[in-house]
This record gives sequence, C-alpha cells and structure tokens, in this order.
Amino acid sequence: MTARMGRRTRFALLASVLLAATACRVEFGPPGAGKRGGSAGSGDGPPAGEVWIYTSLYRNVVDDLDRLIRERLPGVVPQWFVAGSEKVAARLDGELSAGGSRADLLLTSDPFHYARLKTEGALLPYVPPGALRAPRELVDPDGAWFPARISTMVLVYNTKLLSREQAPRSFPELARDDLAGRVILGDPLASGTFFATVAFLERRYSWELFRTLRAHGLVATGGNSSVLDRVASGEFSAGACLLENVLGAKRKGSPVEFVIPGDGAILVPGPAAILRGGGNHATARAIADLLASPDGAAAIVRGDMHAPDPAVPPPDGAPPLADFYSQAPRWSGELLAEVGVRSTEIRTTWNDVVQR
Amino acid sequence: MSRLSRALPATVLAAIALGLALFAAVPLAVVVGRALGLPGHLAPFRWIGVLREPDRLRALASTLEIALGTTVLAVGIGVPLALALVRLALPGARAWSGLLSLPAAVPPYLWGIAWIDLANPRTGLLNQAAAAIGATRPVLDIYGLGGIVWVLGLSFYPLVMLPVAAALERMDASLEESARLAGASPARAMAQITLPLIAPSIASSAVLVLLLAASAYGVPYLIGTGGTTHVTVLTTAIVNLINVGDPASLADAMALALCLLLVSLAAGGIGSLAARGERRRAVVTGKGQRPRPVRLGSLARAVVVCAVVVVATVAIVLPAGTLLTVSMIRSWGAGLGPANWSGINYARVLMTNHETLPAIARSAWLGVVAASLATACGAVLAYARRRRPGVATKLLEWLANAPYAVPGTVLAMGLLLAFSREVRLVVLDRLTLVLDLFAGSAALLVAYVVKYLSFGVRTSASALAQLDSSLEEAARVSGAGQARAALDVVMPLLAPALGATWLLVFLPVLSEITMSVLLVGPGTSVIGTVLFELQSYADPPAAAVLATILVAATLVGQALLHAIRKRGPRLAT
Repeated sequence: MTARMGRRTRFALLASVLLAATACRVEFGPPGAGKRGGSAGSGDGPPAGEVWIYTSLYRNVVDDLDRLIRERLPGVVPQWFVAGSEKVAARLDGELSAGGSRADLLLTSDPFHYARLKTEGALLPYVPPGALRAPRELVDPDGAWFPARISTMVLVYNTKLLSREQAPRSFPELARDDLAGRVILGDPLASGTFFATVAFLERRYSWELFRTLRAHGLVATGGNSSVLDRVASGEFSAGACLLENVLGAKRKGSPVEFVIPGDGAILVPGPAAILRGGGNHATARAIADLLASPDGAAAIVRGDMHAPDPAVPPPDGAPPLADFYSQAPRWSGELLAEVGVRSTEIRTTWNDVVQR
Repeated sequence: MSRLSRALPATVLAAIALGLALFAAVPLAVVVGRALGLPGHLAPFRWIGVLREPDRLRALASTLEIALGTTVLAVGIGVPLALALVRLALPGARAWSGLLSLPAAVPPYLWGIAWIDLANPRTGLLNQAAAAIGATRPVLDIYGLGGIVWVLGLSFYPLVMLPVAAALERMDASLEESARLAGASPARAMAQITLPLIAPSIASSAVLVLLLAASAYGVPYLIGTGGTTHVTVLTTAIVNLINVGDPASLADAMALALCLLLVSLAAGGIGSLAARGERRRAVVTGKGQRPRPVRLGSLARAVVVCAVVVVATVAIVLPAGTLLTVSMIRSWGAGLGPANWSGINYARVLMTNHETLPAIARSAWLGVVAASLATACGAVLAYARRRRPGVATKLLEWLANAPYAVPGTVLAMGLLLAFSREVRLVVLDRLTLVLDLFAGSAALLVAYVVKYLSFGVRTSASALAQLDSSLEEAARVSGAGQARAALDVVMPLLAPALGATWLLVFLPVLSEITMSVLLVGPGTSVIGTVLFELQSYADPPAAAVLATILVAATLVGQALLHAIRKRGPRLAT
C-alpha cells in the first residue's frame, strides 16, 4: 500500500510539474535569440523591434504618438504601459528593485522621480537635438532627461458660483474668508503634480499658507480630475488643477474657468528619459528624437499641454507659454536635489498640517 | 480502474499546491521579506515599530471599526434578505435575487462616487431634496467613518446573501418540519433550527466581508479624504507610503501590510473557530427535500415585501439611478436635468475610445477563467482539507486564504517584485522554459485567481460542512473510487454553492481595478484600467457610462441564466 501510494504521489508530482511547464513559453536555441528584432544587446543598430514605453500621458495622446511612431519608424513596435505617474513609478521602482525593468523609455510627469532614478544610475543620458529649443533649466544638465511637455498648475473656479471678479487670483487668495470651506486641492501624497505644487508653495510661503488654508476648511483629495469634477459640480467653488483638465472640461460645456495665478502658475515639466536597463537603446533614441520634433510637439499640444519649445503655438484656448513662463517659479538641479532629500519630510509635514 | 484516474486527485492537488507555492507564497514572502528588512540588514522586529506612531495606531483602529461595522451592516442586510428570498414565498423571488445581487457587479468605489453625488453636504441630491422640503441644514454627510461603512456594507451584502441563500436551498426540510411537528412556532423553528444550520455559511461570509472591508482601498480613500473629516485606514496609509517611493517608506508600507495580514488572519481564525462548533451538524443527508416555503399572513407578507423594496431602493435604485443619470450628462456641472442629457458619452466611451470594447471582452474571459479556476481549485482544496485533515492541507488552505487578506496593491507589488523578470529554466542547454507573466494577461489572471481563491475555499468549506459524509460513503461502498464519489455525489450537491461562488469571483474580477492598474501588460487593457483612466483623466459621466454598462450586462446575464435554468432539468437533491 505504501509503495503504491509513493508511486502515486511521485506520478502526481511529475504530472503537476509537467502541467506547470505548459504555462511557460518554450524557446529553442540560445535564450533570447530573435526576441527583439533588429538590435540585440545594448542596441546600436537601426531603430526596429519592440520598445517599451511607460507613460502617464492621456490615452488620446498615446494613440496619437503610437500612430506617429509607427508611421515614421516602420518596423518599430511600441508597447505602452499607461497609468498615473505614481502607478508608473511604483511599477518601475518595483521592477528595478527586483533586478530590472523592461521599460526602454519613461514619459511621466514627476521630475522628482527622474532625479531619484538619475542618482540611482538608472537613466541613460540622451538629449535629442529638438529638445535644445526648450528652456535650458528644464533639461537635465547631465542630459539624463529632457522635457517632452509642460503641464501648468492654475487656479480654477466654478463660473456659476463665482464671477470673474470674485475668483481667486493667487494661491494665497484661496485662503480668503469668503471661500472658507469652498476650496479643494489635489492630494500631494497621491498625485505627483500636487506634490510639486506643494513643494513650490511651501518654499515660497512656508507651511503657514497651508495652516491658514486648513483653518479655512481646505479639502485635499485625489488628483487633477477629481479637483476639477468637484469644482464643476459646485461642491466646491474654487481650487487648483492642471490647465489641460480645465481646457477639456470647458470645451465640453462645464461651468469652469481658469486663472493664471498672479504669483506665477506652477509649471510641471513632463520629462522623457531613456532607461539604461532597456534592451533597445537605438529605438528609444529615435523615439526621443520624434518626441522632441515638431510632429511630437504637435501631438502634445493636441492633448492640451504646452510643448517645451516656446515657439510652438499653445493649445486651443490657452495663453502662450511665453506669457507666464517668466513669472513661474524656476526648476533647477538644486531644487530637485533639495526637494528630493526633503520629500519624506514634506509629505509628513503635509499630513500633520492638512490631513489631521 | 486505470492507474491514471487513481492518481488524478493527487495530481490535481499537487498542481494547485505548486501554483500556490509559486504565485501566493513567493509574492507574500517577498512582501514579508521587505517588511523584515531583508536583504542586507535583518531587523525582525522593525515592523512592529511602524505601529508606534499614533497616526498608524489610529489607522489600525479605524480599519477595525470599518471592518466590523461593514460586516454587521452586510450580515444585517444579507441574512434577512436570503431568508426572505428563499424561505418566504415572495412573488418573483428569482428576479428579486438577481436585482439584489447587483451591488457586487460594480466596483464599490463607483457606488462611493454615486453616494457622494447623493449625500455630500453641499450639493448632494438627497440633501437638496431635504432642503426643498424645509430642512435648514444638510441632513446627510457621506464623508467620514460612517459613510465608508455605509457604502461598503451596501456593496458587500450580496457576498452574505448569495452563499446563505445557497445554504438555505440545500437544507434538509425534515429538520425544520420535525420542529414544527413537535409544536415549535415558525419563529422558534427559525431561531433554533434554521439559523444554527446556516451558521457556517453566515460565519464564512461574514469573515469574507470583514477581510474585504479591511483590505478595501478605493472607498476609504474617496470618502475618508473627500470631506473635512479625515479618516485614514491601513490601506490608504500603505498606498501613501508606496507613493512616497523611497526604500524606507516602501519597507514601512510592507510592514503595515504585514500588520494588516496578521489582523486579517486573526479574524479569519476566529471565524473558522466559530464555524467549527457547527460543523458536526450535517444538513444535507440524502433524505428529505427542499424545505417548503413558509406561508405568511397578508400583513406580515406586506411588511416583508415593503422591507425588501426599501433595501432595493436604498442599495440599488438610488445609486444606480444616479450613475445612469450621470452617464447621460453632456456637460458636467451644468445641471442634471434632461436639458443636459445626451448619448455622446456612450459614443465617446464605446466608439471613440477604441480600448473599451476589447477591454470588456478581455475582462469577460479573464473573469470566466479566473472564476472557474478559483471555484474549482477552492472546491478541491476544501474537499481535501475535509477528507484529509493534516498539516499539508492546513498549510494549503492557509496559503489560499492569505492573499485575500493583503491589500490588492501590496499583492500586486509582491507579484511584480517576484516575477517582473522572466524566470528561465534551461533544460539540456537548448530547451528553455520561460515563465514570463508580464508578456500578456497572465499576470492579471494569476493575481485574480490568487486573490479570490479564498472565496472558493471558504464557500466550499462551509457548504461541505453541511454535507453528511454518509452520502459519499454510500457511493464508496457501492464501489466508486474517491474521485468518482466526489464528482458524482459531492459535486452535484455542492452545485448551488459553487454557482454562487463562481458569481462571487466573476463579478469583482470583471471590474477589478487596484491590481489591474499595476499588473496590466501592453495592449491588454481590462475594464478596471479603462475605468481608472476614465475616472482619472475623463469626467465622471465617462466612468458612469462603464458602470451603467456593467449593471446592464449583469442584469442581462442574470436574465439569461434564469431562462437557461428554467429550460434545463432541475437537479433533485
């Protein structure tokens, strides 16, 4: 009996291992042969084959760029992972800490994440010629990333509840008494653009601004669209979110309007970078070139964002970048480094000041 | 009998064990490893330190309050509904049960959005209605702990209602009838005979709800941060830490996840202890038939019908009506009236966004496969655990249940950390076996099955607890092998419970968001990721369109199932 049981168990184990093996892909010959067409290894051949792009761009912009890439770079097969900046960062960091990511190109909107990736040595320096037309401070001095788009944090208000005159004109005005309990911001713990906003505002006005806002019943939740939706619905009268969200909602007829804050709109550059660990550098470079080209810029503008090149016309309904660029707080390597170091402290203080 | 069929049960069990070891144990081990500070400097007790901060302790307390509150609410609604649907001859009971299980078809956080539209203090429709009839201040405020419990409880009661209804359907009528013959009133027979008999089902589904509420993220975030009252729970604290992104925060996040896992395991343990006391009372013995429905007096009947209608109105008609209305809004914020209605959102979501239709198809097949796998594997594990109690099956049961207690984000991170690189096994220098979870939808399927296997194990276990072993023994005595006896005798008797389980896995998988956003492969969007995109980048109407489609598809699916069941032969138990 025991002998039979043993044989049965052995058979069962073997069968289940074989069953498990059916879940695997089977390759013959040297591992990896023919997996990535055109460029094996570090990839210095002509652009071709699969290229993995991790991005937080909106779906319509991704579709636009996908079409452009396939048209201009025949033979290149872009594979997109599309999610919010924080999700992309979580996935990429997870993969990198597990030993490697298949991402070739990163296109999100959190400059601090790029700064961290750069210090970890995960980025391959490359600046496409087209990116040299962008303001110099938006390009990494070591060329680890270049800007692919510029999002703008503006003030937003509900036109049914506030007139143009009543609308807040600067970030400190959000703490006006008549707006108490009526102001909403995004959550810097959940959204990269709001983290950047809080970091800039804290440098300029210290935590006092947020203490006052909190005393006036500030609510901070979700990301840009959550702010916009709740200002549009009238649950809140005013707040701050990205210009691109306001432009899209206005076009659909929502009762919202934006104000370029008098103390300077906060520019959030959406950097692009090539990952050192990616297997298709040549193609990643070709796509970077395409992104920084006039055609790439046009796709960005169709997505209601400003192209980094000030000469490119602004999105429909938005002022040209040059109009407010000079007042906007400046990005710099030192700023990135400082905020990067203080990132945990900023988030913890935010928690103490606002979320308690 | 052939050797093959004799080895079959062991083979199936071994395959499940291997799958669990790879896809449940390894990711969980990675998470625990990070929490303990591996690799590099081992700090076995560091994870306890994360609880030292008062904020985290408060988050733990809120988590427990929400989990318990939700469980009480879900059991309080689910059990009476199941009794009303199965035991009282309500008119149109099948249609009612279809309608009442709807909340499970839509991700809780969409119900949360609907409830914010209904009951936020400033523009909530119910508050506006109250103001119209003279209320001077908002009567409802969804923001806060109570609101979270309210939305989660209303979303999760079908998880109690469905298994308890299935348990009631397979009850042996003779027990209750003997009580009645012995002179007990219907109420007494109910309290002393029926309720104790369905107790294992109530206990196991209550544990499911408890764990689900403790590991919920969307609703606690939406409602806990949306108003001036802030509620932080463990899951929102964990995701905040993951978002911070530096290694120390990530380790803290994993440590909090470990706390949540321990809390949940304790809850699960208490639940199974509670169910154990009832285990000796077998309900299905092979004798007897389905219990006769209780006939009610006309007044009592009217009261029950009213109560069911009220629940259906509050839990389904109000929020689903809100979602339907929102889905038709042309300009968000420009009023909810018909002047602002149009079909453009439907056209935009279904036609212009060419991801949507393939995503629906992909979610549907992933849901079917995941639900079938989780139900089948769960039934096998529960059966093995019951017939061969021992350390090995206990461990397997634990492994099957543990991932459910972990927040989706953490489980997804575990899978990412463990399998984001291909696992290669080279055989004979030429042949390479490559396990590449992230090439297509495999990672999603694995995550869904691992996460929801617990449904399969728990509902099957509680259903098996009701079966008398004499039935199977009779089959064995008549010469059937173990596999044959299980397939021919046990499985048909389990069928209602398995059907309920299948549905319980299929519905949440269909629209799963948390894990899908992290694990989705290139070009493999699912409903959850499309919903997430619409919710984050488009406006509420766009997301409401998908929610409405989910509700409609569930109703149509249930109508179809109903029609099939009517035509097919009825299983006599």
